[in-house]
Amino acid sequence: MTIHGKILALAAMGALLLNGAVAAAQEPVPKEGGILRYAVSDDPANFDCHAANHFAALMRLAPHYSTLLRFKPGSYPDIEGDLADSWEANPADLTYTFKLRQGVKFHDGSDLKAADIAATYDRLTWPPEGVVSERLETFRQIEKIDVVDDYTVRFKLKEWDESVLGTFASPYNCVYSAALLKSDASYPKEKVMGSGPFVFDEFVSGSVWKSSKFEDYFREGQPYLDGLESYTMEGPAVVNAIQAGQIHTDFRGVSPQGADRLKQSLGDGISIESGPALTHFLVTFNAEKPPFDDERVRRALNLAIDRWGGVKGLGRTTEMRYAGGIFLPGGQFAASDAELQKMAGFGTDIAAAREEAKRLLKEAGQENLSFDLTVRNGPPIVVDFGVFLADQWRQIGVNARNVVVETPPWAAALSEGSYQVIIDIYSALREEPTEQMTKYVSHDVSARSAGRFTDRELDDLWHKQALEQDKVKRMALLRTFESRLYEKSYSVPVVWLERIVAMNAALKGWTFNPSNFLYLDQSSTWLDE
Amino acid sequence: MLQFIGRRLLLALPTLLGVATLTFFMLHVLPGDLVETMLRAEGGNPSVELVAAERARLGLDQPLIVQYFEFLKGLAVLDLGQSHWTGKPVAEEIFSRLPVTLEVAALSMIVAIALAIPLGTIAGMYPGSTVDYAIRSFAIAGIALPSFWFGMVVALAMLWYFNWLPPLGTASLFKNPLTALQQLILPAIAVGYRYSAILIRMMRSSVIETMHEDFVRTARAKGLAMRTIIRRHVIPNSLLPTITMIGLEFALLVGSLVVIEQVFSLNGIGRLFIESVSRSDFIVIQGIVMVLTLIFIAVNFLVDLAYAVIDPRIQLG
Repeated sequence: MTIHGKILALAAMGALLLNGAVAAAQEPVPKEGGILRYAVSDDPANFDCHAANHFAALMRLAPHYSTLLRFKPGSYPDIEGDLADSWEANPADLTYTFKLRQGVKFHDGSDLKAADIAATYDRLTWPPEGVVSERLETFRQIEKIDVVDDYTVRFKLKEWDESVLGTFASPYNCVYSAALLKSDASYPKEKVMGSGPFVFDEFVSGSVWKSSKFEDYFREGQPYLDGLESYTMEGPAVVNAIQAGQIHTDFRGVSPQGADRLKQSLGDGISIESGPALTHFLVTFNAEKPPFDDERVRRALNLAIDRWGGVKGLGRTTEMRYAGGIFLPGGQFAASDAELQKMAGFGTDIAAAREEAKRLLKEAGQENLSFDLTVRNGPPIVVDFGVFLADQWRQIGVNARNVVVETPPWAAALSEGSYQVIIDIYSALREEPTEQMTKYVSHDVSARSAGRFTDRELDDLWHKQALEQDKVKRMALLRTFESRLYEKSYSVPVVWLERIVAMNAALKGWTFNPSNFLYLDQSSTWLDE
Repeated sequence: MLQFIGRRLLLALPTLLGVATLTFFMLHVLPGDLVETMLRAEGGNPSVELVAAERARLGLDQPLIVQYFEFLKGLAVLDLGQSHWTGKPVAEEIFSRLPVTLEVAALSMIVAIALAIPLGTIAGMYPGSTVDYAIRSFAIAGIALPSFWFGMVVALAMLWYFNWLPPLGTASLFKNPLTALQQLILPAIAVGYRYSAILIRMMRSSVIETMHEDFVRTARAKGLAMRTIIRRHVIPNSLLPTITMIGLEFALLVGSLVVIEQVFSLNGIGRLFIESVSRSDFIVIQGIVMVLTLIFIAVNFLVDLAYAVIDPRIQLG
């Protein structure tokens, strides 16, 4: 290298270093102290993460527990080790081997070791009598769990499945103490004792959940906050409380009107982050009941829904902002708009689609079709969605009567199949096809499936994509699955929601993401107060 | 008096049995199942075996009649059972939240009485006057406006003009009275206004009627000052029907705080009721209904006793 070249190389290196230094200088240094106050819509039924299936439960429980892996703060959807220091995937012998951090303490002062991981995953995969594990289906691929040594644990799978690694990062899989589980496998229902950044202090049912900083937390310098207080509240009270400065945020999000009001009243005092949420509304036709056992009828109803036009109107006043298939619009597994528009129900020429729908109904002898649409009386936008659907079908001469029912009869109708057409909501924890597609496979394959149908071709595609390690081939399988699903129209996605999180401007370090379930341990959250 | 108390207590028993039976069977004809709601409603995917095991654990697989007698057996020994949702004793769930509801109800009633007696008396003293029309308009507005809507408006007004909202959490009126009062005052005003409207109209009618009684005319003829006539003769005699209404309204008020507790995020029995309905936690709903029935019976009993104190002509027993 010439002198001139060396000078240039040195200058480039200098510039890079300077750039890094400037970036580091711009990165605000987290401040310690303060109590983070936030709203949570509901209380957990009990304190057991493994039995929970609601983000409201996680908002309370996640700060108290660690997991084997976790979603990397500030870098969604990357995964990093939480209790695991490193891990090795070996598809040849179907194993995942995790090396654990040393020196991790539970809140009671005991050491966390491989035996605790094994006991936790034993409980999740093969729950003893009296223990509820909501993750049975998630871990169906685990064949056995071995403790190699105090800080090494190995999972042997029945067959290789790409999706398994991400499940180790699920915040539902709280790691419990093996010693306590040995004396009482149900202890987590009543006792909160983990190794997470915050220690449980108090829970007043229907009111508040309090916790304080765990001084021996294994991440150096974290958590930054002195404590957490989450208040049970929902509806307009949440936006009022944020405006009054009583709470910093509601991590679930607020309505577009709520966000506008907060922006208007607080100006720079509020920070609003928004983007597609991993939640979508779908409609299911009961394929066991006539006339919905006729594919032509189902497809006609699917074709009549103007998804692209619908979200333009609905998105002005509600969170129903995105048209999309079964995967997060714009996400890593989603079909492009161009691909989607070629599939049944997603075309842009709605007039032509509705003509085809009328033709199909006529062919099936259902020109004057009339049926009950079961709508869950949950968030008000679900009822709005029911009205939207009825209006779409009215335009092809179909009369859908919206039957709005409370959650228990709605859940009963869904599980017993005592509905004609039903609206369902699906909030996924993460972007993972194997998990997300369980909503759309045959009823006898997954209990989560909304539809009352058996379609082995769909089941086979679902299975194949889970085993496929080539990303391109996997994507092709996903598109084939979607195409068949919409053609058969057992259960079809319609709109995806927007997540709008309004946070007091002092709240920093929390990672906005499409899921309601992630980054809830608050280990890297801090307050600039 | 003792005979009166004994008779009322005996009458309470069939009332409670009737309420228990009606509540139990009405709830169980509703569609929906707690286990399904718990395990499936939020996207869970429980196996059929798990759902069956949970039902068996909670005793929900038993025939309805067996569940009914179990419920009655518990009631006989004042055991309301355990919440199927949280596993906690129902009595603990209810009594930890009942104080908040009773405090709001009592404060609302104080607000209602404080408005109703003077306004109703003034309106009754000058029927057809401008003052009467103004008070009646105030009362009609109170009846027409739903409490929850009025509560939301009051809360928003406090927020926009004073940047103030009641403190969060649950403070005890006895341990932390200032914070508790701050939490309860807005809901008390919202609910109290509605109930004052009903009482104002009742008080006004009573005053008008009493003003035409012979003893009032006699008092006037004797040259007594109007103020004395009102204080000594008109108000005490007009209060009797109003007190009946206050008693009835108080009992109804406890049950009708459901929505207002939601609006102000108060951790009372109304909120527990809504939560339990949305979860199909029938055993808690049954417990709440039984406790509210007891309150209703107790308040009516106290109203009857109050009659004897206010009007010595009334004999109990």
